[in-house]
Amino acid sequence: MSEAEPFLEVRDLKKYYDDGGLLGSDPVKAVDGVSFDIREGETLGLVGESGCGKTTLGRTILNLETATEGEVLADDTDVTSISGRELRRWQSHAQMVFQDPDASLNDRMTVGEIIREPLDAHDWPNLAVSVAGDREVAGKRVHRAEGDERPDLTVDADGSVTVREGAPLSTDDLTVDADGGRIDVTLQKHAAEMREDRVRSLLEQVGLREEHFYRYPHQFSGGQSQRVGIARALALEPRFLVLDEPVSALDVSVQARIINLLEDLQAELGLTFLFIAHDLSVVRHIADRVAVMYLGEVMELGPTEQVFTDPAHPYTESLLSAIPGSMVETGERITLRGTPPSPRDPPSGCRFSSRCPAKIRPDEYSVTGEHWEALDQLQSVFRARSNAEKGIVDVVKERLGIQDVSTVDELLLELFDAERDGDGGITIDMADDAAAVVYEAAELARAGDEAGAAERLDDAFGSVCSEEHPDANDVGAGRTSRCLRHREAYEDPGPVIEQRYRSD
Amino acid sequence: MSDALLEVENLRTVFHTEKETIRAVDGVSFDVQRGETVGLVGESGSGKSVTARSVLGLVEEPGVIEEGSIQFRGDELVGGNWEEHRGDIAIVFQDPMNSLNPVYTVGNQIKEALRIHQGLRGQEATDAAIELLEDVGIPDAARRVSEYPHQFSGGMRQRAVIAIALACDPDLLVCDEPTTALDVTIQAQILELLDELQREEDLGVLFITHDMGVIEETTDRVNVMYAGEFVESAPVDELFDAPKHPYTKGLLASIPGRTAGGDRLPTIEGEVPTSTSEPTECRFAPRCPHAFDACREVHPERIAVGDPDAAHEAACLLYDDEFEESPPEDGVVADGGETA
Repeated sequence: MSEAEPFLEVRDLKKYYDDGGLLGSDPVKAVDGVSFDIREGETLGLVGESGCGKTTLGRTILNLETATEGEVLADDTDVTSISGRELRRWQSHAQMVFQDPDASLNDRMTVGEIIREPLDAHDWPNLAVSVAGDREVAGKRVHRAEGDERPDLTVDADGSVTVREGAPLSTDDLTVDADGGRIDVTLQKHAAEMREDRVRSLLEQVGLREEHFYRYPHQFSGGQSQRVGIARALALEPRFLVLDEPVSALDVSVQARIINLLEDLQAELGLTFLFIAHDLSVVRHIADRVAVMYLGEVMELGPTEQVFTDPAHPYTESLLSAIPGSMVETGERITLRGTPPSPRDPPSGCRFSSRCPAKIRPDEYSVTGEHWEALDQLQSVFRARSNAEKGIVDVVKERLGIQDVSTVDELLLELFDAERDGDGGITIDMADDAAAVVYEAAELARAGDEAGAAERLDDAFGSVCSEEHPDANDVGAGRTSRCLRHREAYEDPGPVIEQRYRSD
Repeated sequence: MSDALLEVENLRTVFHTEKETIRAVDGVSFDVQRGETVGLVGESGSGKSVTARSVLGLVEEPGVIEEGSIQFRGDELVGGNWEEHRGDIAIVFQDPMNSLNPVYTVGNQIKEALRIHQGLRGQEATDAAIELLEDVGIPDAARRVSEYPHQFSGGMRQRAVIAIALACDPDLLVCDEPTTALDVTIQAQILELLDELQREEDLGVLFITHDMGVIEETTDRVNVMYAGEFVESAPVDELFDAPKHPYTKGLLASIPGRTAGGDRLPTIEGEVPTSTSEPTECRFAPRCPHAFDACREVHPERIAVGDPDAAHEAACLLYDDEFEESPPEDGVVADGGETA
């Protein structure tokens, strides 16, 4: 697609949640330094596992959540720091469609009332009138178009009136008196009547019928409810929609119809979409470009087809290979271990380092691939243990200095396929220098210092991946990828994964 | 076929409401052999879950199995013989949090199943519980056996539920949308685990999902369900390569992302109907792009279609020689348009 003007520029956006715990715990870094542009008229897909910060990012861009840091520029205005009238104007330009249509619609209101609600809230209509020269505009529900505001009416110097194409009114709805020094605009219809007309035309636009006006949401199927949600979002003629998992709750045949509707509306109204989804196949279909998020950061960004057919980042590669069925031609599956770590305590260095299939290994140890995985896993177990809320029994044990021998031993036996030797000790069949580190860490864990144990392992077996935070590297063709392996000194992630997981 | 683990014959499960009788499952027949995975796919309201619950004897008032037979290793279950086979058939539901009791540790819940079904107690049960947790891939099992469900992540909870199911030492595992609530990466882990366990234990698996990708990946044979009936049954490769029933074709075509984006998605008009009376027509006819007059008057029976060696059946008059209409050449279903 062509390089359209950016509609939105997101710059180093951060959203932290601080629950102000008693001990002043670390904040949850839901969005942690995200930068990208959303181009005019495009669909930017946003994918990632639950908890990666997709939804928070969407809400922060709309200023439904207050940004902790960073900016979101729309027409050179930072929308994260506006308030009052400016904020209301932004929120009429930018709307959200939610995942669960049933939960996002008030069941005590008729469908007509639901769609009318934003019109009431913004006291619609309030027409922007563009006039030549510096003539004053007077009349109820009209104001002079300010700055770059999109005018609904244009009054030329000779007094002729044009209504913006696509604006939800016609010249019959108003009279304009431009004879005096100022321009008097009088609406011929009552506002309530205009709102009702607007709702009816929205119903039609989203493929519902007029008789649906007086129905209640519970009388609707999931697909119809989602149409109501879309109509509500379109009421104020937004230019930008954040679609948060809009089809996830729907069956595949209904889903296809809603996707088609969204694509039609985008073409018809020239909308820009941020499409949030965990379903990669939907994103592949609808998005022009896609951003892959992990633990509050965008790991990879690029044109959809290229990202899907030739992922640059190891996380993207793992995510795509997890899609079941023959939807995407990928090599043998790379199954990621465990779940993403807590955004309260993300891994140091690269966020993905604790699960990365292409992690850079230190050269000084000669350890088999399986044992590297076991070492990673041992470290994440110790880390998880040190973060877990301790039960009363554990606390008492720790206070009394009772060593936790059995579970640590169990862990080593399980992970390293180790053997107990004659006197009950454990021997791991691994290079001596590496094994020595594991014994040391195990000793720390037995004494209850699990954080120390994890640290010991990280000191020895960590690499640049757990030390340095990767930048978003330009990997060509308008793509970026946040991986240290894009540096000259290292092999690219793709071939490494190929060799580690797909050879033989 | 007599050595089938599970054999369901003409099962009809209905729900009597004040207004009408809803035929949620309306005359379905299938079997599951040891070591194989049979898929049941369809949209919401098609009757998949009721089929699963019927097999387990979990249908509750006002639902009742009105007709048909469910045989487990040759024993008839309909009529109340589920107790005898209680531990032989286990189920894994969609939402693990609903299957776990929040006030007991995960270990206690596994031990409970071990005590009832295998008579294990005390240290023996604890050791077996840890072993089961290790089997289902929970790291640090010895420690986590004494944790509560809320301390587990979503994927780990589902692993714990599978461990409980395995504690019953079942021969047949019924999976009702076991990965629908999970992320795609976690889904891949759980599917891999189920596959491994099945091979190790030689389990028969009845796998229910609405996700065609999961069906393609997990199952050996597939039944496509629509409005309480099986409209098509085939080995999985055959179903994906050469679907016959217009509903199956439409379902497959409407999945986004199977081809590069850009094109409009083909859709199926309308909604899955609720069946309240004996079928005298094809239930899919009102939504079928290829329906002809007879489809509204004759109830199609399942007949052999496609590759004669493939045990491929479809319930569609297009394939019935009695009628002149024949199926469309390619697998394309017309765009059903855009109605609510």
